[in-house]
Amino acid sequence: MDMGHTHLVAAYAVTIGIHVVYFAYVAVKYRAAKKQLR
Amino acid sequence: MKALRAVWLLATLAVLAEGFRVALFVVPPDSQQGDVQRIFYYHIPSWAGMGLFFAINLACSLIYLAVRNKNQVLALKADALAVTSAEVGVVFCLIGLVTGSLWGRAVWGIWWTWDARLTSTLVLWLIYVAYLLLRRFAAGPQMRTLAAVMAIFGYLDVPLVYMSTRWWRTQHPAPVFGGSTGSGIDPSMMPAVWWNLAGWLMWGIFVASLRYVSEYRAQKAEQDEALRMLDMQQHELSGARG
Repeated sequence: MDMGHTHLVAAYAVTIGIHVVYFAYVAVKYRAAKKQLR
Repeated sequence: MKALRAVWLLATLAVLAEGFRVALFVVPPDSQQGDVQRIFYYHIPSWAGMGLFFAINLACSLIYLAVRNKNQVLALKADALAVTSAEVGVVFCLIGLVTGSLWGRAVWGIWWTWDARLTSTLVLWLIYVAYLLLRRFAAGPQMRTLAAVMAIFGYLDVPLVYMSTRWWRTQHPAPVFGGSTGSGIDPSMMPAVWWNLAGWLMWGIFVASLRYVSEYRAQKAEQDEALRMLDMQQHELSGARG
């Protein structure tokens, strides 16, 4: 795997990774809000 | 609402999967950069997402300032959406910066340079991070108004970022879309742009819709608590007088 491919894979992994981490944060907040409402 | 959100999520994941497939396995590689140019298909949607959500933040901040003394319910909704959109915009902006840095390292041989486009974008990200920190740590009745004013001033950097590659000669390439004559990419590459643009914007809307619910409920609970305390104080005062 040359340098270009490493950077390509890293860019896609970082994009998906950051979105997944943020989604986890949002999901935790959402569940907490739902629980509070009950 | 729950069913609509589930359908939206399924559609989003399907579009994202197709975008991933088209970007990596269908469209041809760039004639000069080779496969590393495929970063573009994740880089561009990040900027589009940032532009969309910072624009929503601006609109909501303006609405909040306009109605905060006339319509409390609308003001609260606008404020909650302003926070939500700033947060999602910051996430997209961060991804744009990181993917750009990775692409820069592969093509230019450097992770970062202080040129007009990169610097103005970093400043933009820092402005909105500061906005979120203000929202998180400041207290008091003026905080929302201050944050809305800050959001309006912060947004002034967005056109600067957009125009930076047109106004100044930068390390960053000239604009691909909406640039001078001859700009753009080969039409055979466009499907990857459209699929990923649609997919990531749909994802942003989905996440923002979830985040909005918790933010609005938190703010509503905070407001209700403040009103309850005010009511109790008034009762105590009237009791002491009586």
